[in-house]
Amino acid sequence: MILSKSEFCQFSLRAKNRLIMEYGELLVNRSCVRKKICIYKIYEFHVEAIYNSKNNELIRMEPIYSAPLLKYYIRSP
Amino acid sequence: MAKNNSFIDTIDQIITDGVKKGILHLNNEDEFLEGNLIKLKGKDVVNFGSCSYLGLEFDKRLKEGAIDAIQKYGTQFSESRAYVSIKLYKDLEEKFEKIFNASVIISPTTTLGHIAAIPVLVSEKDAVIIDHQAHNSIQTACNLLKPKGIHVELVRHNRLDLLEEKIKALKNKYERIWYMADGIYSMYGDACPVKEVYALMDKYKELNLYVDDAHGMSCFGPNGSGYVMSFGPLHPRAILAVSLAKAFATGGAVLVFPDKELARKVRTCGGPLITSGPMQPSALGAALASATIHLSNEIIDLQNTLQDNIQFARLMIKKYNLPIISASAAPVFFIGVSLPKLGYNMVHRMLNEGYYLNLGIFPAVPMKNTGIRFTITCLHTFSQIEKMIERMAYHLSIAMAEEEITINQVYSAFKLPVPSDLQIEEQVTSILNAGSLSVEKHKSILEIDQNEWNKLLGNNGSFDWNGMCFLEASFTNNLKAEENWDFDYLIVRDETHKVVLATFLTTALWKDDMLSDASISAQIEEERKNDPYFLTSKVVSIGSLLTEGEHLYLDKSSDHWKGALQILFKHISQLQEKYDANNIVIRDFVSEDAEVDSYFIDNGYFKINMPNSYVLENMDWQNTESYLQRLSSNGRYDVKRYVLRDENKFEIKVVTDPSEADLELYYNMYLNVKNNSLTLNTFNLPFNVFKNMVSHKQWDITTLCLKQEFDVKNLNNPVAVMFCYIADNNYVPMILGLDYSYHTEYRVYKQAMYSAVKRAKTLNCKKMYMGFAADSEKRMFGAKPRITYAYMQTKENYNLEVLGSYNTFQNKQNILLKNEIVHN
Repeated sequence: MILSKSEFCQFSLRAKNRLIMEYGELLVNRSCVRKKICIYKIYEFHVEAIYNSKNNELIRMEPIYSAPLLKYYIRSP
Repeated sequence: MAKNNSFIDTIDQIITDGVKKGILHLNNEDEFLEGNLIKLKGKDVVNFGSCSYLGLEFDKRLKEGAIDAIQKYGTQFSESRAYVSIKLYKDLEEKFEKIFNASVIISPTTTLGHIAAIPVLVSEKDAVIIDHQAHNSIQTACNLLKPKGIHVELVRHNRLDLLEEKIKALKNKYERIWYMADGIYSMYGDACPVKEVYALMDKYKELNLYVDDAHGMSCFGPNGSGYVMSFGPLHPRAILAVSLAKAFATGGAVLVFPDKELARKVRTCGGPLITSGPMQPSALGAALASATIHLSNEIIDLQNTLQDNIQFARLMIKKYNLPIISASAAPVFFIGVSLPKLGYNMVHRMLNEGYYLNLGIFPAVPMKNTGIRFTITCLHTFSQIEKMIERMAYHLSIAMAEEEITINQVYSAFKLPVPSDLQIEEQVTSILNAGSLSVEKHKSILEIDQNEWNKLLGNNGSFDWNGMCFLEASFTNNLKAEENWDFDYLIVRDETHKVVLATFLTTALWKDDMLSDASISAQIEEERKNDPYFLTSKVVSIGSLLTEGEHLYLDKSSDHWKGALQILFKHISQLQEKYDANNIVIRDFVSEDAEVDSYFIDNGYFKINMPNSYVLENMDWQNTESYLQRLSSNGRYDVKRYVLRDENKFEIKVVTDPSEADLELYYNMYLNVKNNSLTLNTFNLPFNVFKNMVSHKQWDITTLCLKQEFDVKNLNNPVAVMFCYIADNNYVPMILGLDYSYHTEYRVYKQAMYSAVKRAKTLNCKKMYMGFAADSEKRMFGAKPRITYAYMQTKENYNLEVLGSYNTFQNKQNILLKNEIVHN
């Protein structure tokens, strides 16, 4: 059953992470200063996950609403 | 209708049926368990029935705690806690005092904890009100209070408005009022309105709370202290009992008290805490490890994970449009399916798909509120939850089609509105061969052919075509609600126009204790002095309250009998809705039939025993002597000694045109008998019935008068009057009236029965339907008992539970004495 972006957002950060681990597909894994950013595809939308590079702690996980941002992540090396 | 002596048999029948169908009393076949898969019937299935909500049963620390405790203290420390407790108890109690921030006692099980605490906490000056869905273990413990004369009653589930009414009524009579409830209710997973109960406790100083939070423990609250304590510290007048055998994952229970003295008293005086064995060291060792986890931040993570799973399950249930019955944050879910047959079907299907779920069935829920109960734990993955719910939704629609149940019926059984997106047109799919069956529904016997009706049902009692005319005339346009019945007739024919099923139904107000022990009826009648309709229910019944015999014509040789019964079930359900009746009774079955039994259970009916009914057959004797020769030696002796000895002192008169005054006298004689016996507790018949009997050609009225020379009390009136129905070759004594002036001296009841036998013989009748009760007298005259039973369905069990809460023994002696008078 497909969840919508708003349904996904109802879950806690921990639950979102479990949803991604069970149902998501990793598309992008990029590191920058003190942060690691992953882009996942889940259901019919994409999710941006931000981790603390130091301890790999998940800080934020939200659907991507901006098409240009998604394009930027997917296209840029 | 009563929760009578056959209640245990009913449960036995339903559970045994589930065992036979392979979904109850299962045993897992695993040699090793880890995670949430169990092997049933050779297949690994995901367990959605576990109450170990946090998945701690496989935690290494708990296992090591148990092993360590065994290494140190052995497998058992076999000594009563009244003498010595193993050290682990003290260590564990200290931890629980931290978890609950209150005084605690550890008990081997929650049930034993209730049995220890409740009789100590509740005194003879107190009253107890139990939520009718409170766990059976609380109700069991409260039953121990009844022999002490403590007032115990039920209140409808979570109805705090009714609770407040009861508090107002009781608070001036009793020192304290105890409200007994669950934190999370085990079947539907709904919760106690804790805040509102606390507010009531603040408003009424007499109100105390005793709450069983077995399913809330560990899952909610600071340090996993439970659902109730998630609302803050325990109320100063509340006692909490929690189980350690569910999410805590070790076994045992804890009682939590607002003050030390109360805890001390229960510890000192609570029966099972003195005499029952203690918890095993292994369980105590594991509990210490679990308590340590509860006192750490880890419990928050576990609670959050569980809440995530619960939230995910709720979302999936919503997305797959499953009929969930309650909506709380608890890990217990109940998907309504209405009738047991759909429940059995679904549990089977889900087992085949690889998911084990519980069947929620009577007596835990009313028969028509059967459901699929499942639990969510931390061990479930989202994927497992989603797949299980997806499969359930897939199979539910197929199983509903198979069992001829619509989604509207399911929601309606639970009194829930059908979600707007499910407002599908209710199509009655063809039931077993139903396409070839035609249905006739009538509102009056006048619409039915007299010859056909009499051929089908005219020889079974007092409900031939003319008898039905009499009933319709007598039980309409009366003053009181209980004196007005609705009549409905159903005839089902096959394609050749042959009748497969025929019957009549009446909808009327019944006393719920009609078949209860007379001592219970006596207590209820006391209540009815203030509230005449206390414990009464509208009932749709085959037959009526003034007829007995086989009211259902069912041609079991027809290939369509099951289809015809389905039509009957559907028709009755429609009448139940139309007349807003709580109960359905399909009665007067006289032969055991396992196939029929099973069919009724699948369709949400349970079987109850009715009193034996008596029939005198083969009335072809030539004279008194040859009649006597047919009786048993005891019967012959009794008839000679108690009846024939005084027979010449009586005069039998056939009354054809009694005056109004005579009829009033007869009516009062009927009331004499009626008010003297609670064996079959019904409302009084209206006077109108007696008037109609006089003008009806098939009612035979006879009186029994003492001859003048023996009437030393100058009564100058009949001592007995009988109203009997003549149908074809049958004689049916229906109503007896007595004047008790000479009752003991001349055994008037027996004389009246004998006069009816003689009268039936005079009229060349071949059979006498002698009715229920007064067994020994009827046997004496050669009547044979017929074991009679009925099938019943209730919309809700509340009245049954209230009846069950009455004390059978109270006043029993008095009632027995009272009934003796009638029958001697």
